[in-house]
Amino acid sequence: MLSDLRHALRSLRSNPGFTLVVVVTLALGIGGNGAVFSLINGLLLRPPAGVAEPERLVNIYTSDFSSGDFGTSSYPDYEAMAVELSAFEAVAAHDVRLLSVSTGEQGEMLAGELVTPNYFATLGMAPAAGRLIGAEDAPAPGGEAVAVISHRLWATRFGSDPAVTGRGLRINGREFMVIGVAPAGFNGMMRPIASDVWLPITVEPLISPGSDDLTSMRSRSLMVLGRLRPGASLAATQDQLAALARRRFEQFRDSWVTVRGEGRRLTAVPEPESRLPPQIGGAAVGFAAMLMAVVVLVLLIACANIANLMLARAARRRREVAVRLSLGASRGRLVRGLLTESLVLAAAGAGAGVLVARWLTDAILRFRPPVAAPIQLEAPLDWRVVAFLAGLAVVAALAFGLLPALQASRPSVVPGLKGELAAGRTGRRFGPRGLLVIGQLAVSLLLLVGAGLFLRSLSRAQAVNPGFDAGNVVVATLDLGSNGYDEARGAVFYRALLERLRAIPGAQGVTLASAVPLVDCCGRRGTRIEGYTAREGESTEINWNVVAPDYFRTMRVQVRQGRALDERDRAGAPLAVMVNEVFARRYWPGQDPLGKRVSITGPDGPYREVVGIVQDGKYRSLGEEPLPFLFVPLLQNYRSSMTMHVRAATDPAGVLRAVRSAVGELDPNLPLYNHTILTEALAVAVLPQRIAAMLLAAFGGLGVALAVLGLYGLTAYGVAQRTREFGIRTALGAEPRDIAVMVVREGVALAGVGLGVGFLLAGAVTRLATRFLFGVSALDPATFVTVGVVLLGATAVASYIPARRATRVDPVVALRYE
Amino acid sequence: MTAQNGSLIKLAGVTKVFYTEDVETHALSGIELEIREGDYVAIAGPSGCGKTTLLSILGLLDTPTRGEYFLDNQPVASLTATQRAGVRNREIGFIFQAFNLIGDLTVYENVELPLTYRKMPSGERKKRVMAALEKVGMTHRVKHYPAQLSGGQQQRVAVARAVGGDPAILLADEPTGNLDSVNGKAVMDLLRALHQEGSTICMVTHDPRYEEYAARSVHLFDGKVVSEEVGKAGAGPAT
Ligand SMILES: Nc1ncnc2c1ncn2[C@@H]1O[C@H](COP(=O)(O)OP(=O)(O)OP(=O)(O)O)[C@@H](O)[C@H]1O
Ligand SMILES: [Mg+2]
Repeated sequence: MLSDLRHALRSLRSNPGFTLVVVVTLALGIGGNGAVFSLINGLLLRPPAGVAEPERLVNIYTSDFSSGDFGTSSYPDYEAMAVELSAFEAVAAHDVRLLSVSTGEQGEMLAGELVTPNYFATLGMAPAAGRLIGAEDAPAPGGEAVAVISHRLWATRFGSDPAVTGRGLRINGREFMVIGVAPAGFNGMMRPIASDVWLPITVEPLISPGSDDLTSMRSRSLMVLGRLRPGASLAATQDQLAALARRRFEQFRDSWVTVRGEGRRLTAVPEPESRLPPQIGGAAVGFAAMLMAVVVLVLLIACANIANLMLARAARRRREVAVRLSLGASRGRLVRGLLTESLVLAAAGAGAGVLVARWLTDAILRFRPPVAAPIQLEAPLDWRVVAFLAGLAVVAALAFGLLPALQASRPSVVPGLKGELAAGRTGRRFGPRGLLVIGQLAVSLLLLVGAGLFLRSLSRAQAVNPGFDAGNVVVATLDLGSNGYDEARGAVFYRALLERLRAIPGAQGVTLASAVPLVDCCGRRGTRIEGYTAREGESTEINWNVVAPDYFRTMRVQVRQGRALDERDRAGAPLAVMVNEVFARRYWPGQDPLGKRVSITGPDGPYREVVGIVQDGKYRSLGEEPLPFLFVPLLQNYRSSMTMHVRAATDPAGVLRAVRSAVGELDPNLPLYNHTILTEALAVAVLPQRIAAMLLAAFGGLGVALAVLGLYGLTAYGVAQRTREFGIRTALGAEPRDIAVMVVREGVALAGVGLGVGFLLAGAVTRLATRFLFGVSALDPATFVTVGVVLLGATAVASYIPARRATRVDPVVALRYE
Repeated sequence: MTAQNGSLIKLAGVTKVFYTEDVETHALSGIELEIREGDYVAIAGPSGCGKTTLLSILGLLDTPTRGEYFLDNQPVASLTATQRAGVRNREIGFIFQAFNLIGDLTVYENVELPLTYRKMPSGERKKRVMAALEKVGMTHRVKHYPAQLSGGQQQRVAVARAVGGDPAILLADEPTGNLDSVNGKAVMDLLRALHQEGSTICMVTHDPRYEEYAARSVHLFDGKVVSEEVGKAGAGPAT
C-alpha cells in the first residue's frame, strides 16, 4: 500500500503538466461543490450555536391565512401552551424585532429578540460572560430593564470587555443594562436573521408604546419553541396540540376562527426541519438543491475530463502495463496502483478545492441583500463540510480513475508488447473517451440551457410594467416608535419631515408610504366591501398601503378615475380610500366605484369612501396575477413606521444623502434603514433568478470550457494517433480540405450525439426549475436552439484546430515504414 | 493518356537535400530519369541510397530541392497543394511496403477511398471497386477489415486500391518487403499481370529476384544513378 503511494507520487511528479491540469480542474469542480455545500450547511444543516441537544427542540406554529400551518402565535396562546403542553419539558417564546440600538454615539438598526424568561434555559445555553435572561428578569414595574448582547456586539461595541455587565445600552430610546453575553456564534432562533440583543418580553410596552402584543390574542407575532421531555416523541405532542387547539377554539372562538369558519391548528416541527421559516424553507431547499445539482454536474464534467486525460495516458502507458502484467503483476494490483494515483490526485484537488470554496463563499457572502433585517449568511468550514469534501474527493477519484484503471490493465493490451504493424481498428469514435465527451457535452448543454432560461427570465422580468416608475426614486425607512414617539408627536414629525424633504434641491416628488411595492410589500387587511358578499370560504383580505399626499404623482402611478389622495384627506375629514382597477372590477363589476365604501376595521366600520381609482400595478412580485389593492391616507391612519419616497431629478445618490441629513436635523437619534435607490432594491425581486443565471452561466461556461477542451483533447489525440492515416489519405489524393472536413465532421458528429442527449436531458430536467422561471417556458425553443447552435459552433472550432494540424501531415510518412 | 510509348515521366537534374540539425543529407543528386508509358522500371540499390526519396518525388509526395520534374510533359513544380493532390489521385497509384490500409475502413471502403476524393458518383465507384478487387482476387473479402486479413491479402487489397482509379503509373516501394516469399511472389505475379495489361509501373526493390520481373532496372548509389540495365522481361509489355 505504501509502495503504491510512493509509486503514485513518483509517477505524478514526473508528469507535472498532467498533474497540474488535473488538480486545477478538480479544484474548480470540488471548490464549487464546497462553496454551495457550505452555504447550505450554514443555512440549513448547522445546528444553532450554543444550544444543547437541538434535536429535542420543536417549533410550534399557529395556523393563519397567509402562512398556512406555519404562522406565529399570540402571547396569551403561548401562555396556554406553556402551561398545558405537558409533553414538553419547557415551552419558550421569542419575537424578532428591528430595534434602534446605540451605545452612546450613533444609533443602528439591529435585530433583537424579545424572549420569555425561560428562553435561554429552554435552549440549554450558557453565557459567554455575565448571565442570561432568567425568571428574575421579569421586571417589577419601574424595575431596571436588562439586555443580553450577542458575542459579535460585545466584540464590536464593547471591545470584548470582560466587565461589560452593568454597562448601559439605549434601545428604542430607553436605557437598558447589559447583564451578559450570549455564546459565540449564537444568532438567535430566526435564521437567517441575526439578532444582536435579547430583551425580556415583558419590556414590550417600553419599546413599542401602545402595543397590545402581550395581551391581545389577535396580535400573533411570537415564535414558540418547545423542548421535548427526554424520550418523548413528537407524535405524542400532536395529540396534545390538537386538543389544545380545540379548547382554544371553543373558548376563544373570535380569535381562533379561520376565514373558513374552522378552528386554527397547532403544528409542531422539529427544530432541524424548521431552521428556516417553513413558508420559505421549501423554496430555499428547492433552490439549494438546484444549485447543488449544478455544481455536482460541473464536477461530473470535470471528472469526465480527467478520465479522458487518464485514458489518453493509459494508452501511452500500455507498454509499461504490458511489461508489468507479463512480469506477473496481478490485474488487481495494477488497478490498485492506478487508483492510488487517482486518490492522490483527488486529495490534492480537494485541498486546492477548499481554497476555491473559501474564495467563492467569501465572494458570495460579501454580497448583502438589501432587505430590512440584518441577514447573516454563514458558511463555516466545519466538520460537515470537511466530511462532505472528503467523501466527494473519494467519489471523484473513483469516477475519473476507475474506468481508465480498468482500461489500462485490460489483459488484452498484452499485444502492446509487440510492435504494431497491421492497422487495427481504433474504434475511436464511440470508445470510452468518446462517450465521456458525449456525456460532458450533454451536461454542459443542460447547464447552459438553464443559464439561458434564467437570463430570459431576467429580461422578461425587466420588460414587465410594474405600474410605477422606480427610476431615480430614493427610499429610506424610519420607525418613530423605536424612538418613543407617540401618534401626536409622530404626526407633527411627519409634517415637518415632508416640508424638509420638499426643500431638497433636485427633489421632484416627495411622499411617505408604509410599503414599497415589490420590495417590502404589503400588509393585508380583512376588508368589508359595501355591496359585495364574499362567497363561502372566499377571503377578502386585501393588500394595502398607507400613503402620504403626493404618493401617486411621486411614483407616477396614474389615477384613472376620481382624484388622488391629498391634503384634504386629513384627520377629521371624511374617511377616504383609493382602490385599483382590479379591485373595482372584481367587487363592483359594471358599477361606478366612486363613492362606494369599504371598511378595514371590521363590520362595524368606520367605512371609508372611494375617492379615486388608480392603475393596476405589481405589488408583491412581478409574476403575480393582478391583485386588488387599497390605498389609505396616512393622515387618517397613523403609522409609526413609514418609508420616505423621494424622486430625484438627476442625482439620486446626492438626494439620498440630503434625505439622511434632513432626518438627522429633525432627530439626530432616529436611525434610518433600508435607505437605497428604489431600482437597486427592486433588483432583489429577481435575485433568485439573477443568482441562478449567474451561477449557471459561470458553471455552465466552465462546464462548456471543460467539455470543449475534452473534445479538443480527444480530437487532437486522435489526430496525433492517426498521423499515418492522414499521410496515406493525402498520398491517395485527399485534398487538405477533404482531411479537414473529415476530422471536423467526426468531431461534430460526436458533439451532435452529445447535444442530442443533452436536449433530451434538458427537456426532462428544466421543468424542475419552472417555479423559479419567469415568463418563459422551461422548454423555451429559442433558448434551446441558441444554446445548441453556440455549443455546436464551439465544438466545430474545437475540432477545427486539430483538423488543421491533420491537413499539414507530410504524406511522405506513408512511404516511411516504422 | 499520352500517345503510345510517349514520355510519361521525365526527371532532369533532380536533387534532394535534407537539412537536419546542421547535417545536410544529399539523398538524391542530379537524377536524370525517363519513364515511358508501359514501362516496368525497377529501382534498386543499397539501403539509404535514396530509393524511397526518389519514389516520393515521383509520387508528388515531396518536392525536389533542385532540378525539374515533368509529368505528361508538364512541369509539376508550380502546382499548388490541391492540384498536386488531384494529380496524385488521378495519375498515380501507390503500393506501400507497409500496405497502409486504413484500419477503420473495410476492404471495399479502402479501395473506394481514392475514388471518393474524385467526387465520383457511387454507382461508378462500385463498378470500379469491384473490378479492381476482381483483378486481385479479393472480391470475397469486401466487408472485412484489414486486421482480419493476412499480409498477402492486405497487399492485394492495396494493389486493388492503387489500380482502381486507373492511374497513369503505379509506384510501389518494396511491395514485398513485409511478405514471406510465397506471398511476395504472388504480389509480383500480380504486378506482372497488370503490366502485361498495359500498366506503367515503377517499383523499388532490393531483392534481385524481383528486380528481374521488371523490364528495366535503375541502380542508385548514394543518390546517383549508377547503372541502368534491361532485365529479363526486357521485351516490354505484352501486346
Ligand atoms: N526526412 C528526412 N530527413 C533527413 N534525412 C532523410 C529524410 N528522409 C530520408 N533521409 C535520408 O536520405 C537518405 C535516403 O533515404 P531513403 O529513405 O530514400 O533511402 P532508401 O534507399 O529508401 O533506403 P531503404 O532501402 O533502407 O528504404 C538516407 O540517408 C536517409 O537517412
Ligand atoms: Mg526505402
